[in-house]
Amino acid sequence: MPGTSQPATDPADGSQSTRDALLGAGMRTFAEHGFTRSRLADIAKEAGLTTGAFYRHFASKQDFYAALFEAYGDALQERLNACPDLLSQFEAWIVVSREYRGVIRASAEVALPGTDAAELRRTLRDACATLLARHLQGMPSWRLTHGSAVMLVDTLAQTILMEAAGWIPERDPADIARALERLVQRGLYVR
Amino acid sequence: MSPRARRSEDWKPADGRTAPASSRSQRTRDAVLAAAIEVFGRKGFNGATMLDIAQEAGVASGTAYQYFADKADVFRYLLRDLEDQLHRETRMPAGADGHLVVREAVLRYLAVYRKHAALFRTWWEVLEPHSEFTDAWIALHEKSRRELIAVIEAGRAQGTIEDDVDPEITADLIVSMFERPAYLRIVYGWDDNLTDEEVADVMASLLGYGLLADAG
Repeated sequence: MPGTSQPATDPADGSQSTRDALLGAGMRTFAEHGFTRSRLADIAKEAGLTTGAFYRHFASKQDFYAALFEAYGDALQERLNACPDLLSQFEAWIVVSREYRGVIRASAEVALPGTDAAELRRTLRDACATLLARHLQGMPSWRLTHGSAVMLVDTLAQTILMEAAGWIPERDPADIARALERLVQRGLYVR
Repeated sequence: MSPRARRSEDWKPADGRTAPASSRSQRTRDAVLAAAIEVFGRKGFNGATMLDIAQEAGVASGTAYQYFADKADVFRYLLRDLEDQLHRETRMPAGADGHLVVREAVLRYLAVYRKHAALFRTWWEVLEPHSEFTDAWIALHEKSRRELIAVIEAGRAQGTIEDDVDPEITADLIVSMFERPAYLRIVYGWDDNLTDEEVADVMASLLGYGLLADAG
């Protein structure tokens, strides 16, 4: 119940679950309202906590966003790393990103050119492209392989952003993955 | 919600604002628009004010307000021109063989994007929270999607594209493939050590006979 949250705990010990509750609430709130329209008070309330509790864990809304983005990045890389081929990587990308759709929506507002958030995104983009590039064998150079992987990453990220924002309908992840993998392996046309 | 609820093409002077009557006031308005592109490019939409725009144009802010109700009104006008040009210059038609003319379309898209980088940056910034500019963005991309879907369906009917290619999903992917790489490459300056020509080649392969087929 709002206003009756547990008392402040030492961040060094028992407050991990409070932090997790805030992150989960942020994910849901950002998914529904985006970054700008989500108020910290609403996020705290969604977690059954106060704004004071929020500030014991995060310095600012930006700091909170960075923590969410890190959680998304970790989950994404872990899944991509475990996939045996491009097709399963594409599908995993879509599934994980939908779980973190709040971060994706917020990212479109926060990671503007020249910001720290943009650098976080760039780092994740490069890391993911490297994981995809493993399964793009046979191109003339590593530079082209990595560059192509980056374009695939960007394509997926854009598709996910468009559906997270409600601009295009959400489709079966397996169908989207298959459509993109087909373009990589065989392109659009019959030989 | 209709994606066409409010097109920026509908721009007309806001209530109480005038269309320029003389060539002198036309020049003043053009100066305000040029200044707005400069200021939006430098400060972003949220960071820009009408005062910044007026100062950049070398006019009093009252003068700028004669033509535009606020900075959103200025951007609405700029977007109207950009949308016209985008649709005119960046369509990806099918060639005589029914295949999409990819390479040229990519290079043209990148050129238009680069020329109007400040406006694209601003446009992306106002997509969220959802606004009339989001609707305009959706409507523009919807137009491209519909054209791509038609080309894919025609290809399937003619047997140049296999039946297992899903027109809707593939069209979404193609729109994504054009949009985000252009945005990050040009507005963010992330070029990934690829030339425009190489980007166009990669996309032509993806929308041709495949990345690995062409590379191998």
